[in-house]
Amino acid sequence: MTDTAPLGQFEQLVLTAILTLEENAYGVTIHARIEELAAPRKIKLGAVYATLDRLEDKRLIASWLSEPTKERGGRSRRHYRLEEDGEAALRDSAQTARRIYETIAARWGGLAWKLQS
Amino acid sequence: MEAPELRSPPERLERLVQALIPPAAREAVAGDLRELYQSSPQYISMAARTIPFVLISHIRRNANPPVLAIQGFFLFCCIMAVSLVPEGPLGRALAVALSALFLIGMLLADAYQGADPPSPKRAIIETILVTASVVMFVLHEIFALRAAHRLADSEFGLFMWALVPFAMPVLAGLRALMILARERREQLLGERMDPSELKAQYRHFQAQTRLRSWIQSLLLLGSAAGFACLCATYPVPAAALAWSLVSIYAVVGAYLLINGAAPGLPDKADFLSLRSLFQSELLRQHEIRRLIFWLWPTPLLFAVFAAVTTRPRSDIEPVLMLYALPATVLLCFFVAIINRERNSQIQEKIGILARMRQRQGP
Repeated sequence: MTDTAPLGQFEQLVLTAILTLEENAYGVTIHARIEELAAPRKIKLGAVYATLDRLEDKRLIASWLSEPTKERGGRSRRHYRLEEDGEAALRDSAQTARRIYETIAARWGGLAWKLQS
Repeated sequence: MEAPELRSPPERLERLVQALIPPAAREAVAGDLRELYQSSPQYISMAARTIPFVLISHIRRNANPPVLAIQGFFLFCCIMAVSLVPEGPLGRALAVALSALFLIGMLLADAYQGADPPSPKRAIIETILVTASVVMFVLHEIFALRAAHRLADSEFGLFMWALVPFAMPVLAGLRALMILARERREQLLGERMDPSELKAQYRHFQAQTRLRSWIQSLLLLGSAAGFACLCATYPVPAAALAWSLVSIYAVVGAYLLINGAAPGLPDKADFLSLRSLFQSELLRQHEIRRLIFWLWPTPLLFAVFAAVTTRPRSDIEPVLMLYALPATVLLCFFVAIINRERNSQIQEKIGILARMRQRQGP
């Protein structure tokens, strides 16, 4: 268990996106991955930045600037990666989500409930 | 074969959007928006939906609630002292509304403050504008006091010849000197470092914060004890507020003693984690210092508040309006410029850390 407060759903999405993107996690790619994960919900890019700032303040992620690139008009990308506490917080959230899923699945019968919706 | 031309927003539009993004996030956000560019309307729409979030996030990150409370308190006292503001509940409501507006303006100014220091010329102009505003306020009060036959000519002359000509060049000179001193200072952090060098820099920084926290904590706890004796011995106006001030000094002093110094290095910190820790501690230490710098003149603010708001304006001594209040305004301006200068230094250091690369090989 981590010492930090439980993650909100959007924070879980952002951390999952960073986890899966590995070396390529920066604003644009994180936003695109969250839109895939949260489909059909539309996600605002600004909300992603605000959440990244909050997660960085909680020391769950770390960021750094890359070398400037031509396609960005000579600007750098801000890359992100999970910190140890971030990985632990995401693991806690995944365990809670699995327990919720198993409870619902036991009640509604496997994946049938998902297919009905 | 030639590479296909990259689609990019019109230069003027991009410059405008870039100016609206807070400097600390400008490079990353403006670059991301450019990567997502398809057409000008799409670019404008995306910028309009993104920038408010970025701005609010930066205001949240920069906001220091205790400092805001002190600044709000100070603004309220100053506005209440202006004779144009009516006395009574209406005047108080107006003062609260105007203080809130000023605070919002200050929060926006903080969010848009960059790492680059202003030019000495701009700093001098800022100082002249602030001192000129103080002079305008005092002149207005002088006319009001003279109309009420409450001011002798000698008091008027003393202010004009003593305070103003002294304050303006001194403040302007100090501000310009701080900027010039920063330009000459050697930059300790390099472009490339290996983890052991970064660890050594962090340990040095940690030792500095430990010593500073101890000294400040002792001074604050000592001052709290002194104020408590004063409040217990003499009848103090606005006693509840005076005891709150004593409590704030004691709480901040205790916090510094327990949690003021930067934390030790984690056992298994790699270069990235270490850099992240260094950046967040630089910011936290800056916020602590910002609060301490505002705490020291707070007893003076309290004295002005007690003098200005606990009796009718006709009973307030002219000397307070002509000397103490303008001197407090100039002192607070000085505290604000020290904090702003310090903030841009910290932002510069954080920027250097964000760009720093790990040195490869021996």
